[in-house]
Amino acid sequence: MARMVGAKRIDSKPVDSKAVDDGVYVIGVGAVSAAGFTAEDCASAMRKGTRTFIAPLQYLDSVLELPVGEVRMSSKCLAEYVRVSSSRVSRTALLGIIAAREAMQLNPWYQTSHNIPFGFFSGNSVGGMDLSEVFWQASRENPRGGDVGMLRMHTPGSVTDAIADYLEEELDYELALSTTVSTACSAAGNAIMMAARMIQSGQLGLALAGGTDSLCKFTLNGFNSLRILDKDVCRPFDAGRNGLNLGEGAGYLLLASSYVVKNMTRAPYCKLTGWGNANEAYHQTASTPEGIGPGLAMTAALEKSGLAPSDISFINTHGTGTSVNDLAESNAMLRVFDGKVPPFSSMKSVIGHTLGASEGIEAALMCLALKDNDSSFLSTRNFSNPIPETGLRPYDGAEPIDLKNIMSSAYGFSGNCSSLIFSRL
Amino acid sequence: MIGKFKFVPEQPLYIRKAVHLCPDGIGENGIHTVQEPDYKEILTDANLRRRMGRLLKMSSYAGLKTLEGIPSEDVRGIITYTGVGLIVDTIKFADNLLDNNEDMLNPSPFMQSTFNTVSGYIALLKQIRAYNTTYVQGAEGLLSAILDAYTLSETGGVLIGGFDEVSESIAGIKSALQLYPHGKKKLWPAGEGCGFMYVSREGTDDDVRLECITSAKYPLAKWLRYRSEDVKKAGVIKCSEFVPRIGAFESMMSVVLSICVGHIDYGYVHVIDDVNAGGLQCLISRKKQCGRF
Repeated sequence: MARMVGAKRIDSKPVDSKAVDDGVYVIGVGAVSAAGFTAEDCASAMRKGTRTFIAPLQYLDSVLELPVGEVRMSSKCLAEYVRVSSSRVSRTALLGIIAAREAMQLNPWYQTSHNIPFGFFSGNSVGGMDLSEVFWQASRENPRGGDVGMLRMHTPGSVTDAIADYLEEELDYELALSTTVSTACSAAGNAIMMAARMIQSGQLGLALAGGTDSLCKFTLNGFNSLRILDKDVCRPFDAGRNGLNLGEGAGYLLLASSYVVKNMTRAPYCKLTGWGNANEAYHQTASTPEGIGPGLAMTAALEKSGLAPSDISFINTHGTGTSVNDLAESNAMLRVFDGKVPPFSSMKSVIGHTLGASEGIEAALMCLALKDNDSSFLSTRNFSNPIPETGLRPYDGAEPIDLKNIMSSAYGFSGNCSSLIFSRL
Repeated sequence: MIGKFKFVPEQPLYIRKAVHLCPDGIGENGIHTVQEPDYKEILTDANLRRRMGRLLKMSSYAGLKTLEGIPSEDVRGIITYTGVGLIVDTIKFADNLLDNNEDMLNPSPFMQSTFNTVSGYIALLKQIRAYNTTYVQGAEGLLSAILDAYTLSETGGVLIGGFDEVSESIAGIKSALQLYPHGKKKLWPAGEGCGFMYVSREGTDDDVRLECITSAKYPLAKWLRYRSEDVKKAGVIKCSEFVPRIGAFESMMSVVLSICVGHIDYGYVHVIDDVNAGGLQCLISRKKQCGRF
């Protein structure tokens, strides 16, 4: 049973003089993307130097001829892989289950027997749109046809519920609460941030946070109608960049309080030390050229972590490959880091833009990199010439980086910007 | 999904202001729809008004109305929650996609279909660059929003809002899915509305306080017995009582809370969402008689 804990009183000093460690630790990671079915799979595929996993559509039924970062398995096989029998479970939930299962690197018995309040925070933008599309298509052909039950998983919240059920029923954890953040492409970043604050305020001892999203006609056509999809593999931060590629997948971090970490035998991956959220308040789908929102999020994350810009050893950018995003983000980095931008990179040319899952997948990989101080899989693929206005060149992997603090950012529609900072232990 | 999580703010959390838009019974179209207000005084840009969908206009209006008279620099965050979001635009884009065989689509409904459109628009219209997020967890989203707002800042305040919309086809789908069952094989009719609140940890006894929020399944009545005499006398308000007027929808608690905030004179009120499967319950209070009633 979850313990009921009120928020920590902030106006009064702790009773004992010992400083209270309210740090938030990463004790498990899980990711699935076009590059692989576990976080380590994804990292090692990139380490081997595979140029990209972006390829023509294979599983999604669409007339559009656009390259995407698809997870290499049909929904039917994914369901068999995680042993979910219902045909009414969305691909989004199945991908989420794969990543969540991997990230839960803590004995369920330990969680339940110690009454550690455990929360699940999932970022998601499309929900079960893949199933909704099946219903819409069928009901169009025959107004009384189609299985209306397919719409049960339409909302992001119901996808989260399916993953939460799996955590409780199949994996034997007990959730105090689970919820869904839907701030478009920054959803996973905001979910991780909320989870961290719940741990820091003493409401939870353990939280699984990140995001999941699957490819569907709806988003593919949506981005296509905005004319921001590259017909080739995208080129983040390149002068000739010409749009983004959509991808799919899921990524989660298992976050824990210092109390939980103290009682563990295994060392945590790293610490989540900073987070920042801002709204650009400028345009629904575009960023200011100077990147005001991204800059505010990065600055807020630095402030929260207490680190100086010079302490950041690597930045995992949003770097979608669109003309607007990459310029705005470059300008924001130049401003926040006062011209001395640390090595930075984008994973979008390898696995595509996985929308609400992107920060979940990428944060999981950043935690892996910090754990082993391994920068060997972090280079940006498909880059040749810098953007003339900024002259910035993303990390090419030639020299290893001593990873101490990594900043990772995601920005979404409606001006939602998020930035996280992970620190090596 | 909420287990046995109960949130009792240790420091008072005040609901400083609340604004809602909701239907007043069944309209001419046979469903519970909001009589839209004259948006002009709040949403001044005519071009923008034309581009905005109906729910986006309603909820931006309610959000901005709540923030009226509050300096933007005091607003530490904008947090919204919704059951099914801007579903009319979502279906419009999905229909276009099928009609035109994925070719030459108008991006506007797609852009407005994302769940965070409302929180983004309020930020845009008020130029508030602070914390901004959106929860999509049915009726439970309100708990996330309140937890988020409480831990966000000790100073200033946070705008919290819930919104959902209905149309004839959405009402049909909701009834086919049997979303709001009650009694024996009966269904509540689908409705719509939006409710916004400005909450803050700074306030006075003149303000309404949020004492506790948890799942409606939690035996709160038992817990209440251990509280003071006043709490025992708490009036009970159920969301189902409002269904004949506003219909049933995921974020209806935001509307009902807003109505209660406007009507609580003194003492405690226990508000229960007995309509939604994941409904919440909360306890609100006013410590000092406001004398308005």
